[in-house]
Amino acid sequence: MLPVSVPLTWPRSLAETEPPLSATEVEVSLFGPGRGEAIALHLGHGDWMLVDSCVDSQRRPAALAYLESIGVGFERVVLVVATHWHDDHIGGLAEVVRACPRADFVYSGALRTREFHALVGLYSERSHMESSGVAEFAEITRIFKAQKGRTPRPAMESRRLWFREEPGPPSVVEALSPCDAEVLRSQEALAELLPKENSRKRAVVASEPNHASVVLSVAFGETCLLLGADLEETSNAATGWSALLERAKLPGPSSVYKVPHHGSPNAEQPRVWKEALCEHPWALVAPFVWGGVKRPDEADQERLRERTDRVYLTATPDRSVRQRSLPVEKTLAEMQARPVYADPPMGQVRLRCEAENKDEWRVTLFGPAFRL
Amino acid sequence: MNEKAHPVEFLEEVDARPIEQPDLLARYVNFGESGPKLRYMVAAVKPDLPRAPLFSDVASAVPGELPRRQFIEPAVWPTPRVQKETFIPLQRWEGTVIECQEETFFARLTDLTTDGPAEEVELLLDDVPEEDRPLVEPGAVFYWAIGHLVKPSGERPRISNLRFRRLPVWSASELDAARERAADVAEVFGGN
Repeated sequence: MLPVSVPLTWPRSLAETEPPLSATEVEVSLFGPGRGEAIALHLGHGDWMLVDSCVDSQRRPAALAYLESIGVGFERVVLVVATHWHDDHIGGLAEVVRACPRADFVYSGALRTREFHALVGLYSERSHMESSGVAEFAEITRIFKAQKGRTPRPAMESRRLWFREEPGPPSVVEALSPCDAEVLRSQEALAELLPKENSRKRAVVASEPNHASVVLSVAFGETCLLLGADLEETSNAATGWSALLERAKLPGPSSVYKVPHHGSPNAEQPRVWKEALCEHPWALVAPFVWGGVKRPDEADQERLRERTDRVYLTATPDRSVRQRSLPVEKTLAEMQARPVYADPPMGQVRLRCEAENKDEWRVTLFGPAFRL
Repeated sequence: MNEKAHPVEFLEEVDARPIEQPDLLARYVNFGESGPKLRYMVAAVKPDLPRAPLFSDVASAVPGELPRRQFIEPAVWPTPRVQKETFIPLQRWEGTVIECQEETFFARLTDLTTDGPAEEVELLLDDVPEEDRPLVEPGAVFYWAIGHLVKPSGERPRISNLRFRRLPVWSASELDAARERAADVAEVFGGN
C-alpha cells in the first residue's frame, strides 16, 4: 500500500477530514524535526501513550498538537514515558505531563539516582545555563509536588508499565531497559557533569552515552511494536542491545520498529533485525543534527535500506541557511562560518492498522516526512 | 583660586582650536611655561567679568597691548574631544559551545538582533581572541557580533567581535542551595 503524503501546517485540524480510529485499530505516529523526537501511540479503545516530547515551530509539544487535531482529549492519555533526559527527547515534556492529568508518568530508572537529582537542583535555578532536559525535569518536579497523590514511576527492564485485558484485544506496554548495569554506567556519566566548588559555571551539554534509555515493547493483540529509544550497542556485554536481547522476553516479532538513536551505527545490532523483528518491518526514523553530527547520514541510510525496504524518516537531516544582509553575509563568508537553522521543520510518519492485521499498516506522511 | 570657575562660555569659543602662538597665549592667561605641548586650552573667568576675548583676538594681540581684561588661572584641562572608534553592530548572537574540535568548535546560537529560531554554526578557534581561547569548552557562553567599526578617519571596516563570558565559579553556598533543591527532586522521583 503506497503511503499518503499530507502537507503539514501546525496547528491543523484533521478531525473532520479523517475517519476516526476504531477501538481495535492501533496507530503509531513518530514526530521529528531535525533534532528531537516524540511518539503518540493508540493502545486501542481510545487509550493513548505518549513517548518523549519535541516541540513544533510554535513551541507546542508535537504530540499534543496532533491529538488535538484529530479530536482526542488529553484525558485519554494513560501513559507518558520519558525514555531519557537528553534535550532532543524532552522538549515540552513538562507541558505534556501537566496537560494529561490522568496519565501515569514513567521515567528511566537511571534518573532515580542522586547524581541526576543534584543536576536538576544545580541547574534548575540558572536559566542562562540550563539545558532544556534539566529544566523540563525541574518543572516536572514542581508539577508533581503540587499534585499530591500523583507519583511518577521508574522504568527498569522487564517492568510492565501498562496493560489492559478487557475489552480486547489485550494491550501491554513493557520496558525492556535500562538494566542495573546501565543505571550504574549512567550514574558514573552523570557524576562527571556535576561541578565542584570553585569550578567555573557553564551550560550543561549532555554528551554521555545513552545507557539509560527506556526501550519499549508494545503488544496489541497480535500486533507488536519495538520502540528503540536511544539505546546504543556497547562493547560491554552487560549493557546495550546485545544484553537486552539476551534477557528480554519479547511478546513476538515486531512489525514496527522505531529505529534507535536516529539510525546511528552505534545503536545498530544486526541480531535485533533477525530476532526481534518480522521480515520487512516498518522502520521509523527521526533524524538528529547537532554540531558536526548528522544522523542518519548517507551510510546509515544505505544500511537501513539493506535491512528493510520500508524505512520512513520524519524529516531530512539536512539544514537550511538563513539569509542575512549583504555585509553580514560577506563577513560570514570571510570567516568561513555558515549559521544554519538548528532544527529543520517538523515532520510526522503515521502508521495505522487493525490489531489483528499486523501486515497491513497504512502509512501517512506529514510535512517533510519521506520514505527512503 | 577663589573665584567661581566658569569655563563653559569660554570653552565654547576656544575649545579644540589649535593654539598657533602658545607662548603668547600662555603669558596672556598666566599659564606659565606650557611650551609647545599646549595645543588646546580652556580658562575660567569670573562670572561678572566682561566676555572673554575670542581666540583670534588673543592670538593676534601684541604683548604690550593686551586687552585689559582680568583672567584667572585656568580651572579645567578638559580631555580633548577626540572622536573614538565606534562599533555599530549589524548582527548579534549569544552562543553556547556544544562541541570542540582541534581547530574549530560548534555552537548553538540565539539571534539577539531579530527573533528567530535557534541556529548552529562551526567557528574557527582563530576567530576567538587569544585570551578567551582557554574558555572554549562545551557549555561555555559567548557573545558574537558582526558590524562596522567606525574610525575617526571615517573608515568603516566590517569586523567580527567574538567574546566569551567569564562566568563566575560555583560557590559553596550555591552548591548547598542546589543540594536542598535536589532533595525536592529526590522526594518526587525517589531513589538513592
